[in-house]
Amino acid sequence: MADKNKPDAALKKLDALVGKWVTELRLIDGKTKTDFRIIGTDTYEWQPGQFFLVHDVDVRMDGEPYQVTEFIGGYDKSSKSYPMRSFDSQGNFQTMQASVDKEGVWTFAGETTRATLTVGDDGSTMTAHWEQTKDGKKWSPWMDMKFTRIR
Amino acid sequence: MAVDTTQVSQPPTLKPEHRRLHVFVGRWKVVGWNKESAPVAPGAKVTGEETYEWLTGGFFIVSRFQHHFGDDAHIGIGTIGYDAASQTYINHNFDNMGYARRYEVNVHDYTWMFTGEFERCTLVFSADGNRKTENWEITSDGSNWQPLCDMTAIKIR
Repeated sequence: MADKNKPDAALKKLDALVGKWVTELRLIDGKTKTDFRIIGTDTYEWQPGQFFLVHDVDVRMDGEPYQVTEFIGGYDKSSKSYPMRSFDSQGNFQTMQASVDKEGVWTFAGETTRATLTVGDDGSTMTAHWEQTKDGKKWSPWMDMKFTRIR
Repeated sequence: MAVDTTQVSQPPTLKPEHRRLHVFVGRWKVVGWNKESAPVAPGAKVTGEETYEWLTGGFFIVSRFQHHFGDDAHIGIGTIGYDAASQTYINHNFDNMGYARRYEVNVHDYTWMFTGEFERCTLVFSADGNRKTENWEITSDGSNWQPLCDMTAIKIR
């Protein structure tokens, strides 16, 4: 902890998420999809130092408030990924790994849930597709999300 | 966002141990000193502020700290929660120097002991909960501990 550490250049790729977004969600159950509904907001903000992005989720699920505070960062060179650690209003602590490809499409990988997140060309919208698994082998579509930037 | 309904066999339930974290909640004004064996700014005065608030649901405290010493500042954000499986509290901190730290925390009466890989802290609350003192130590080898800093905080809100 002697000299001022500098954030890995790869962390700047997270800039694409920074801001406040209105969140819409539709659930997928087999071939059935609900309609998209606005459920709340997602906010991404850098912490001082620019090593960690704080992601706050403030939504309602089934009419009940649901909130998550998640920390994304720093950058792990060996796995080319960004650790994600989330803490939610139901008492769950969950870890996932984020990675991004050459086209700027993000993948969030967890043990039982995973997602791809695509930022629109002008940066004002994002879409995400979530899948889940009960056995770690068979993945089923779970939900689609749309994000519209408000800040 | 990940509402993971498949990961745990039983969803977490609120226990008295969660409510015990309420002693942290508030805004604190901090004053202290780095010790001579501190690796950064040894002997410097420390001033700063900390805030602790509940995340909705009552399971986790979100903590934010800003500690200034000399020309430097140690700024970070984290959580404290109770892990029923290990029957300890867990504190995660993410700071402006790029460190993601994890501490196991045990409590006895007014004393909270934070133990991490390279730092540990003995934190004692006053009986009325408006004051806390912290004695931090640091190690490079996991067995020899040196004083790092002492801090006192007064709750201002």
